This record gives sequence, C-alpha cells and structure tokens, in this order.
Amino acid sequence: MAIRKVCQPFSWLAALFRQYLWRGIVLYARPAISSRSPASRNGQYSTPIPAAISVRNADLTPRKSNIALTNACLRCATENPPDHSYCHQCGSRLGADARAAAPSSLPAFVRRPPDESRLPPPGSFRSGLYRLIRAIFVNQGPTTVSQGTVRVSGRSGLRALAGRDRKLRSAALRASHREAPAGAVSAGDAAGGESQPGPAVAGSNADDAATTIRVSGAPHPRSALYGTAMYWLARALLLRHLLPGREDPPAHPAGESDGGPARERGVPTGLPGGLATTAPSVARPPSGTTGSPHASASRGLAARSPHTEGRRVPWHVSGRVIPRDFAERVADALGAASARAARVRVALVPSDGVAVPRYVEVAAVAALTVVAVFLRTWDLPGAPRRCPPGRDRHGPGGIEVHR
Amino acid sequence: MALEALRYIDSGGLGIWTGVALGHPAGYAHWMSLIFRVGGADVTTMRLASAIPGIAMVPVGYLLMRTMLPFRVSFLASALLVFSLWFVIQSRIAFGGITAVFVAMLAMWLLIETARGRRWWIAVAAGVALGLGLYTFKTFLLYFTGIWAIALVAAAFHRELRLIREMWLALIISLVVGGPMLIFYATSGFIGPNLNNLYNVSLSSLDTWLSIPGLAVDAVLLAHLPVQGNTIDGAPAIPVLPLLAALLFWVGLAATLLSCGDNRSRLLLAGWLVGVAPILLVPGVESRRYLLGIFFVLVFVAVGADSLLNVLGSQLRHRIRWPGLPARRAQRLVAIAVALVAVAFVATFAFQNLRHVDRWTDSDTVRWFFSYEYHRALSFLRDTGTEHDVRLYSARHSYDGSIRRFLLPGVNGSDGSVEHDGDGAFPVFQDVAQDTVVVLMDEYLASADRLEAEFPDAVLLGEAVEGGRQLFVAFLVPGTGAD
Repeated sequence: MAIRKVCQPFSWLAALFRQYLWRGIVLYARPAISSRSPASRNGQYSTPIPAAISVRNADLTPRKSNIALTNACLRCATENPPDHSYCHQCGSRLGADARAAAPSSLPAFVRRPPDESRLPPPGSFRSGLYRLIRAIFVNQGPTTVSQGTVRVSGRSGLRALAGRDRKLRSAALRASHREAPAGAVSAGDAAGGESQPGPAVAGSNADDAATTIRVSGAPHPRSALYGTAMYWLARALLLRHLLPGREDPPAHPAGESDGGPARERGVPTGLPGGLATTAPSVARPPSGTTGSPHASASRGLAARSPHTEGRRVPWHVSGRVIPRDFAERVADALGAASARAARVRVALVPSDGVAVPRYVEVAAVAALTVVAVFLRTWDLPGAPRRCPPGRDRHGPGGIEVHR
Repeated sequence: MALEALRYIDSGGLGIWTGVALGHPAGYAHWMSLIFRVGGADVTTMRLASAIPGIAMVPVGYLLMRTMLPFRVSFLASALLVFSLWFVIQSRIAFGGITAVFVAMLAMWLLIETARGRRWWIAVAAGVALGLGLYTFKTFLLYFTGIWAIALVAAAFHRELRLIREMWLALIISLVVGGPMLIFYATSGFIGPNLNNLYNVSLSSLDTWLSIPGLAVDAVLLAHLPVQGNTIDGAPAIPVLPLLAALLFWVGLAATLLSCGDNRSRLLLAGWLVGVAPILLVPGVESRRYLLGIFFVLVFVAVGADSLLNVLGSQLRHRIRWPGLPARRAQRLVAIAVALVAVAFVATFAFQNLRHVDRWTDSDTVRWFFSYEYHRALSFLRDTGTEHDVRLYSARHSYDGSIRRFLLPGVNGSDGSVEHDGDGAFPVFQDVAQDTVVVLMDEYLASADRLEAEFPDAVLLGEAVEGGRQLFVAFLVPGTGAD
C-alpha cells in the first residue's frame, strides 16, 4: 500500500508508459489524433489528410459493415448460400468466424484506438510532457499536415468531402462551383502552402467529372524524415504494390492523370497504390469482357469477379482478407507518412490468407518429422568418419602410417 | 553420462544430481538408463537418448509456433528446425542439453494452451513439464526463471490473465515438481562456484551485469558471426545462419518488432530472450547454450521469409498477367510459384546446413575426440567376443578411457603405449601367462611386423583397412602358460 501511495502521483507516467512505451517504442506512427480527440476538438491539431484516398459518392455514406448482410466470401467476394461455412469457390471461411479472424491479423496498434481517457488535459504540464514524450518516441508531431491528394468525383462527392473535413471545406466548395472538369484546386492556397497538380482519379460516372484537390501543409520535420525513410524502406522491400486497388488508368485527359509532378519526382503520396475505398463501379465492365486488362488486374481479386459489381467488396492485403470498411477506418486514422509505415507493417504481418485444413497441417508436420527421424538417427551406430590422410594434425608426433 | 546411466542400472540411487561432465542434473542419465533398459547399452541407444527429443521437438516446435503464427510461418520454421545443423548435430551426439530445449518448448506450448484453453489437465501437464525440465540440464534453470518471469509480467499487465486460475495452477505445480532441484540449487551453493570456476563469472560482480548488454549484441550478431566452438562442444565455428537466412532473420526481427503491440509478437520476442539468457550470463557463446535461442532465430527467419513471400505473391498477382487465363487459375499458378520459391529456400538452407554437418563430421577435432579408428577397434573386439586380456597400443587413446569402458564393460585391458604410461615394448608379454589380444593403432601400426617376428605364434585376429588406409590390427598372442 505504501508503495502504491508513493507511486500514485506518478500514475500518469505509468499510463504514458503503458500507452506508448509498453506498446513499443517502434510504434512511432500511432494513428494521428482523430477528430474525436480532445485536442482536435479544441482546434489544437489539424487532422492529417488521408492522402491518395479515392473518395467517391458511394463511399461517403456512414460507414458500417454491410458484410453481415450477405454470405459473401471475404476473400473472393463470391456469394455463397447462407448455410455454407466455407466458400464454394476458394474454400475460405465464411460468416462470423472469417470476419472475426480478419481484423485480428492486423497489428494491434491498428485495432486499438488511442485511449483518450489516459490523455492529459490540453494545456497542462502533463500535456506538455506528453507531447514531449510523444515527439521523442512516437516520432510524429501532433500538428502534422501531410502533403497528399484527395480525389473526389462529382459535386456530391465534393459536398460530402466538405462536410467531412473542415480544412478542405473552402477548397472543396470552390471547386464545386467551377466548371467541370474542375481540375486541381489547392487547399494549400488557402493554407498558405504550395499548390501542385496531383494525380487525377478515374472518374467512374460519366456525368461527374473528377476533381483533384491537393493539400500542402507543413509536415513535422521528424515526421517527414521518418515518413520518407519508411517510404524508401518500403521501396527497398518491394512493398509498393502490396495493397490492391491501385489507381486505374485515367479515364479523362492524360495530362491530368498519373503523370503528375509529384509522382514523377517520386515523392511519396501517401499510400502508393492508393487505398481505393470503392469496388469497381457499376459502369466498369468486369474483367475478361471489355475492360482493360491492366485496369481489371490492378484492382485485385475484387475486380475480377462479376459478383463484386456495384457492391462493397473486402480488402485483400498481402494474401489476407480484411473487411473493407475496417481498412477504410485504418486509412482514415492514419496520416500520409504513417500510412506508408502502416503499409509496411501490414505487409509484414505473417498470414496464411486461406485457412489450411487440419489434415494438411498434420500431414505436413508428419512429413517433417519423418525427415527429422532420418537426419537424427541415420548411421547412429557409426562414429565420425575417418579423415583423409594427411588432414589430421593433432596426434602427438602425427599419425601418418607407413607400414 | 552413459556410464552414469549404466551405474544407475547396476546399483541404482543416482539421485537428482550427478557430478560427471562438470556436474549436471541426473534427469538425462535417468532418461538414458531407461533407453538402455529397453534397447540395451550401446552406442545406438546412447545416441538415441538425445535423438528422440531432437525428433520430438519438431512437432512440438510446430505446435508452439502455431499458437502464435499462421500455418505457413510455423511450417517454414519447423522445416528450418529439421535441417538446422545445430539441432542435427546436438541431437546426434548424445548431448543432454537438447532435452532441456525440448522440454522448454513443450512447457511453453502447454502454458500458452493453458492460458487459451483453461483446461486443468493441460495446466497440470504444463506444470509437470516445466518442473521436470529442471532435471534435464543446467541451463534449464534459466529457462525456468525466464518462463516464470514472462508469466508474472504478463499477469501484471493483463488482468484477464491474472484471473486464469489454471495458469497459476500450472506455475504452482512446476514449483512442486521442480522443488527438489530448486532446493538443491539454493542450498548446495553450486551455481556461484561453478560459474566462477569454469567461466570466471561472478554473480556478485558488477562487471558481470554490465557486460550483459554487450553479450546481448553478440547474441544478435551471431546470425553473421561465427559461434565460438571448441573441440567437443559440437559447435562448428561458423555463423548460426547462412547468409540468405541471416538477411531474412533481420527482416523477420524487424517485422516482429514492428508488430510488437500484438501479444503474439511479444511472446515470440520473450521466448527469444529466454533462449538468449544462457549466453548472456556466461561469456563465450557456445552453440549449445544458445540452442533454444537458435530455435527462435529460425522462427524469425521464417517470419522474414514469409514476409518476402507475401511480397513476391503480391507482385506476381499484380504485375504478371496472362491473357486468356482465368483469374482463379492465375491465382493458383502464383500460389504454386510462391510455394516453389519457399521450397527452394528451404532446400538451399538444408543443403548448406547438411554440408556443414558433413564437414564437421569429417573435421580434425571431431576425429580427435571421437576417433573412428578407436571406435572400430573396440567394436571389433566386442563383436569377436574376446575373453582375453587386451593390450592397446595407441598414441592417442588410452584403453582406460570412457569409450572403452562403455563399449567393452568387463574386459580387462591395459595400455602398452608410452603415451599412456605403457612401456611400449612387446617382450613384456613373454611373462604373461594367459593369451592376450594386442591391438595396434595409428603410429604403432608400424610395429606389426616386429610383433609377428618376435611372436611367431601370434595369430592375426583382424585388421581394418578403409580407403587404402589401415585403421587397426589385432593379434592374439598366446601366453606362456606359466602361472
């Protein structure tokens, strides 16, 4: 009790320890302060903009999982009869088990939101110390506004975007009043930052032109440095294309498409490959029919199945199935720099992708055991083999034999 | 240790501690005596005593990894465990430490299953395994302490774990089962003097504890730097891992660290720390002290390989397109390609490791300490069933050695070579009343002609020639018959 009483004034330090250090100093890029956090409510922080996230009309509906409504396979998106436990196409598990298993394959730091009850009140000494520790160990400044691109399609998308992010509101509203196609509108202009045309997104609806809004901010130096380091680490590990749903070939003038200056310079733009939040639209033809092979293949499994047309489809990350809405939350929670790191982490989490039948496991381990039996018992009665003549140098006086 | 097992069979009462081989718990001798009772005392059964746990650790290691990792990583880790030269060698030389590693893995797996399944009988099995491990080898004391520390730390931070009564049941049973051994360690004063005398390590010295970080770095770098192996340790002086596997080790370690917010990754790192503990305490990293840590190193290699296989599969899925090929079939081809790469990696690892095993088996040091000629000569005498006295002439091996006593128990013999206090002269047999078998080896082989000249009645019992080289020659020299 005495120890507890002595330590009680320092319980907040223990909370910090548990929250950050105990979870690992390497968790440098915790999810940025969300809009629900007290700091953000006070206007203290700017919400990092999820860069390179395609925002379309259908995506801006309130997020809730609609996977439970169907018995679609989380791996191949094939619709299955309601009483099936395994997908009749790919054999993956269906239903609650698969949904329960999928998020657990992600790192825990992604699953757990920050424990806001442990955060010190803003403006206090503890808050300052908290920010100091965070700046040292977490490696992400709380006021980071990452450079990135948000793409929207159509005026409805712009309206939804404006309602979603205050910083983008003015830019989005200005863009919505322009003639379509709207072109690049820089929110960085409003923020005093640099404006650059970013990669445009393929517009899916014929009557809604795509609008690219590029946001430039002043990234925290440490965050920028670390983000760049993680980006090159990802490049080194060939992880650039781990996530599916890469950007489609432009459906509108080529000048606005992938050849943006940022991409030409190799500047990291958030999630390389993009965290596409929508399934292929209804207007997009399925693979194997009339669609572009590149476009269909680049969207991964989801695009290849006619069952996915016009419907939300699961994510497919590194052979692992993640419910798409969950991945959206991840994308929203992470800033541009930390998203790159998260992408590396997600790719590095071991996974099978497909549930392995028990008999396969038993057979595989039995085969290994048989090999081990051979290697560990072969020629046990024997002794170490004889050296070739002349190799033994240890015998007293040598043991060269001359009879 | 085999002689201790024979002594236990003959007289019983071995106790929990034996002073042979610098002092060890007697559990391994008891286990070996059990093998001897079943299969007879032989080189084969002696080596089986370590080969059996070496084999059993493959499925147990898989089950342990499967509690934390998916199938592919667990399978890769088990495959690496099968072919790793450290485990192959230590499983084949009747080394008792392999039993400690096996029991540690078994106890870890059962404890994790206890926390997950909350079944009392698994808890009992976990406690018994953890307690019995103390009787296998000295290093298990560190494993025992480490596992206890991990359990307590985890319980301190996880309330749900504290509420698992079966977990505490397992830990208490381990104390009860291992109690006599713990009491021995605490009361005999063995640990301190043993470390001080053998390794110049003083637990009361500040330098010992300050050197631990440096030793930890050494342990991590063993993936690239050669292990300090000396003579009979069963440790070729090579790095723990081949180059490719060492690179994958860093990838796997980084992946594990990056996801250390997950309890599974924490458990993996904690298990590695437990395995590293013996070489943190004792400077001079022998491979056999690091054996449990090497297992977790192999797991990190598997994690790294799995990560890169993920990358490869993703790259193939997104970059390579076959016109006209159905998507599902293309996916299957990609999966097959990834599997082939995994098989190629394991095959390369196996080839490199088994080649090192072959080289180590043929090395000079192994030949010096585990003499092929000596073994062949004694096996020949045992097979011929000689009832005569034996006189051995060898520059390197004494007839009074433990190998002779193990292979030829009850046969009287002596050394004739000057290197082992003999006179080196054959005429001494003129005064011997009964027939004597004279065995000539190595440099004394040149004396065979002289012996035949001096003893025309000598009968050539046998000789072994392999590869154009004479290993030994044995003569039966008739005695004078005078009492």
